[in-house]
Amino acid sequence: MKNKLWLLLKVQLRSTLGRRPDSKKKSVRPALGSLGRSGSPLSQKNAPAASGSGNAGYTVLMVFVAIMMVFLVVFFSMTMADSLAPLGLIDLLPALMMAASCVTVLITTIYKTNGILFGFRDYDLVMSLPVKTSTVIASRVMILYLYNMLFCLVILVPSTIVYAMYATPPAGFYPVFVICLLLVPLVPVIIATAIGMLIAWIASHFKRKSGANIIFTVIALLLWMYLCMNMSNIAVNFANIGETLMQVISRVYPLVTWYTAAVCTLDMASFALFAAVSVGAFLLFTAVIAKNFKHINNSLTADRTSSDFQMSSLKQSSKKAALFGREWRRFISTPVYVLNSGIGVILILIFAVLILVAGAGTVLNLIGMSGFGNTLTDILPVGLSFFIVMTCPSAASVSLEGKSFWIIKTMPVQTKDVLMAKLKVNLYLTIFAVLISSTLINIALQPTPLQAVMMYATPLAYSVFTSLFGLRLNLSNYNFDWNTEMQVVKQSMPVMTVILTGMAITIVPAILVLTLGPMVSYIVTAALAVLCVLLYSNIFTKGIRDFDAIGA
Amino acid sequence: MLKIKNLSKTYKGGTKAVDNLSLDVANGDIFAFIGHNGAGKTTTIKAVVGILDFEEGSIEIDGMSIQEKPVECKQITAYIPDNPDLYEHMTGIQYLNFVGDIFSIEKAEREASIGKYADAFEITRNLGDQISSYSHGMKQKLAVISALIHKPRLLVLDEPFVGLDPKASHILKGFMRDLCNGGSAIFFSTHILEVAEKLCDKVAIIKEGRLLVSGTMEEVRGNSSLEDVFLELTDHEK
Repeated sequence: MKNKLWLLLKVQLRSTLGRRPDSKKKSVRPALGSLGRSGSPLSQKNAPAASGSGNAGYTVLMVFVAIMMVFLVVFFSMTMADSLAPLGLIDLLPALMMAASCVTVLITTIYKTNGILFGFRDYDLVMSLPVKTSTVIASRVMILYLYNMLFCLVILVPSTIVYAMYATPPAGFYPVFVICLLLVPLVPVIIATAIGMLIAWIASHFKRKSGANIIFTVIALLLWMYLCMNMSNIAVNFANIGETLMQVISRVYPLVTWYTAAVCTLDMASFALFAAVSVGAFLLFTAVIAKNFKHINNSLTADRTSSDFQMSSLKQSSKKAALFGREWRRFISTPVYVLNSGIGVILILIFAVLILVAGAGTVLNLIGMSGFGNTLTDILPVGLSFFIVMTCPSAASVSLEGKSFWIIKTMPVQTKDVLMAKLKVNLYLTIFAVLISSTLINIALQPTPLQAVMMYATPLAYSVFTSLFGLRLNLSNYNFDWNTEMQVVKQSMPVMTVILTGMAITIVPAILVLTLGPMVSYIVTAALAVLCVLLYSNIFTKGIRDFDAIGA
Repeated sequence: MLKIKNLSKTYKGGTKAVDNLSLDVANGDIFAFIGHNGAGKTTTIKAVVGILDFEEGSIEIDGMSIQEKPVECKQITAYIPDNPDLYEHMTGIQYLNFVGDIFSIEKAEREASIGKYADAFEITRNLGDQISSYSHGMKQKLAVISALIHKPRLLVLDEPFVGLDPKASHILKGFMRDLCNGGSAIFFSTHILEVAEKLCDKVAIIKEGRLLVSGTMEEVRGNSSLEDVFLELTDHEK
């Protein structure tokens, strides 16, 4: 049992981390073979090799992200501790951080449920192996747990070190914290899985399953963001409301109280309660899932078929329109793709509508960024671009060809048209969002003519740059060997690089605009325009050759 | 229609999948390409349809080089892979219409062809459903229909009968014969030697990337069965 669980876990870890079996090391196939099946559909026959630099680059990127997150957590924790300690409220720090890690686990797991726990691509193969269903579930749940453990480690360990520096707790604090740390992700994973299952189950009853899934998940995300904004407002004013903050959090998530009492005051009753509820709920949930796994999986993944089609008039399109339609359908039919690569468009539109309806002051207060005064219209062109750089479907568009890549390779189309179609999806989304949101903001804020022009020009420059940069990266670092779209849409090196680069090239100029004035945004816009020309030229020469050289 | 001259393909890592292979498939031919697993059939087929690049030799389709004029070659070629990985997010009809757009098939002709082939393979009523809901056989039928609707001058198939039920296999063989009677050529790999023997005019046997024998079915087979010839050649040729 343990050996089989470990083998399944190892295969899934390699697969979900996007690593191909290293020919010099023990491969995945013998591992599966030892479970009683060889020559499996997981075979790498004819699979195109991913770019060689991909794994190393991805590792460097992940380490960088982790370091940045740790830095931010330490910064935030120390700022809070400086305010809380004089008020005698330092115990609020572990409580808030535990709540933050639970929210992070919750939100990142909702749309992992369908793909990791249910509806995974090699379901048929795995379920046909001589392995108990409970072992399969255990391996899948372990993956979810390990993913989330990483988030908890990054958030809770640095913040708890900061807490220990200020509170100087007794020696018993450390072992209790370590045990609690291991237990923290369990209940949020259950809640997120349940929400993810509910969304997938409701969506499965709609003819347009993907659309329903996207809408329900966006609603869930917006609700979460609304709650977070309220929480941040509470946190900002914690000095005034003191202990009531703890009561608010505890009402929403009672485990925070037990965790805080166990860690901060070494209350063993709370510790036992926290451990018993976390482990008990997790085991119970896993047992229920294991018992009904096949039924639940079929319910969530079944496609509604009507089987009543009758031939009618077909719409004829040009080759270019057909290629664009192909890319657009790919985008809107994959909920995780829309949610991960299109969320910036939704956010920028909400932001602009709120500014028009509620006024800039109210909106900026709501997101905790008030105090810009007259510089607001100078900083907004770069500020809006922050949402735009989060929208980059092109960074996963090559990888998403996956095992169907043979189709486009054997079709009588120019490679430049294929690449242009990929870019167009990205550009249409972001340009549409910029034109609408910049117009609304210009109406609301009545800037000078130059500022009004920059409100369009700067985000548009970021839009074109992000689209081109994403495609260029994906042409160099593609992966057709994914098991779920999430691997390339959310966790791949090109996507992570584009988002991190985008954040850097919007946050730094925004700070410089505040200190040096609007000239910075003019220079950045011009620089991006030059980069766009260079990238465009590269993609439609070397990029075409790179695409043509990919085998299927 | 298809001329392969001295084709060699070596993968990264040094594995030579195809070694100095030459073949000639004429208009009207149904040409079977036979060999053990890993003999180089799929690599050759993928080079023919423009999926894989190659370093040595040449491939010409209707006198045009697949390396120099890939779009023109692909316009008159259709390919059906051994595993029909189609666009799962599309419905069957969306996929066929997409193929129609890419091959610039006129609207009336497109509707008539899709109707004809979908009715023949009995999947018309499923065309409005997402491809992800299709069985392996239905996907294979859809791949076959998508290959036939643009009336290719060269049809290249990799193990086309795998996954098809006996009736669908029979129908496909009929369409293959019709296509060749209309002047097109068919080049396909198969492990089902009885099918090759009954259906094909010409045959080539390949082992470890090298051509063992090629010619008309009668020339290659002589007085034996194709199975006997295949086993004798592949077992004795070291």
